[in-house]
Amino acid sequence: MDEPYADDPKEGPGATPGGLRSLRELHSALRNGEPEAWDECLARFGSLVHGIARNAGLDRDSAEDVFQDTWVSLHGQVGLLRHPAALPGWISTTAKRLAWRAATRDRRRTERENRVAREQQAQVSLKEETDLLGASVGLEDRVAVWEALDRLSERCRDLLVLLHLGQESGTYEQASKQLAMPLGSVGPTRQRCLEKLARELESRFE
Amino acid sequence: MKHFTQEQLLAAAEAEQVPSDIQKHLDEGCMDCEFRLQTYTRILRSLRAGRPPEAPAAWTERAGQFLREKTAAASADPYTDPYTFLAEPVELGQMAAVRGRRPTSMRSVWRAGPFEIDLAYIEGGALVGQVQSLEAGRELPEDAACIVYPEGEPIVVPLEANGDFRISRPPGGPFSICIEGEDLRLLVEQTGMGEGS
Repeated sequence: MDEPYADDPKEGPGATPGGLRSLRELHSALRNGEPEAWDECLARFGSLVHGIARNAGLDRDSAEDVFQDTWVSLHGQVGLLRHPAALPGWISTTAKRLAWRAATRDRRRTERENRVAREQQAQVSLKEETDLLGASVGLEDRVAVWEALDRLSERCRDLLVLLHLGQESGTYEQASKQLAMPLGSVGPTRQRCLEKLARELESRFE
Repeated sequence: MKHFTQEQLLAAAEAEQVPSDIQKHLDEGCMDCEFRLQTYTRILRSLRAGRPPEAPAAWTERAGQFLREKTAAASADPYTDPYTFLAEPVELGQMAAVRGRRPTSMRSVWRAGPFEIDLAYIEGGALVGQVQSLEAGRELPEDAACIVYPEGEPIVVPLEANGDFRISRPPGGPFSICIEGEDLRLLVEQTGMGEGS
């Protein structure tokens, strides 16, 4: 079997797309068959599917198969998704299921290639599937939070990223200087921005 | 019940340590403060961890191209996917038992291509089913699973070797069922035989 796919493409805050539609609008556009809605869907949830495929320890080709098959599956079944808030969960569950299937297939192939004794070719147990289904919880939060952050104002985004990104995040003084903001308003603005972010995430975190 | 302020909850989330007075308040059952504290904790952890890595651009481009083409094709002909069979009910709502004033079990059989899906609600609220091939030599794939699509999170249950499945707590209201496996996708749209459906 090939080495697990472990590329680490662009990390960090990166570019913020801005102008994103609400989940309800995106869901409606997908169901109405608007081609450009798929580009937005890929931009918003591609990192989630990619992360799930990577975390499953697949080789690069299998990981891409999972990535592509997830979107094919969504395309075929988006009409069944009646609640917009269910869209991210659907994408995540489908990707995990496909990743589990690919991991099982890869393992069986490897076992055949290695001529392992039949009794050692145990099928993936339900527990293992359940483990994989629960393995990407942190990733789902990250995707949801950063996606919601993209819908806030630029000022909020910059402030929250400056104050909270990484282990050695910035101080109020640095934020005041870099964002040309009175020192006394950094704290209250941060709180307002976090509250807006929390509101954006309410339905996702329930 | 006096709630804690956003500032206090944020400080607790940031320190990843809940002070005793807040903990006492949460132990008394304040779901509102519990939810807000959890939300702030999840937000701050996610911000600290950074934006998740993006998918390779080539993957996204290939997926985007496929989806745009597929969407254009679907507008021209809505039935272009050869792997999707929209099932038709061949038998509906056959009561298996009656207790008290309402039925405790309901059954329906659906046919999708060469497969038959037998669904039944049983007493206690479980949904049980069996998928069978009606065509010699056409077996269910080993990785077949039943996926239930309610309005919330989908429920995934792997099928037993004989095609049986059981969902202990099916969602209320209407939902759709998909039997999915390698090269197989059978849809039962908008079933939901439970109360209120």
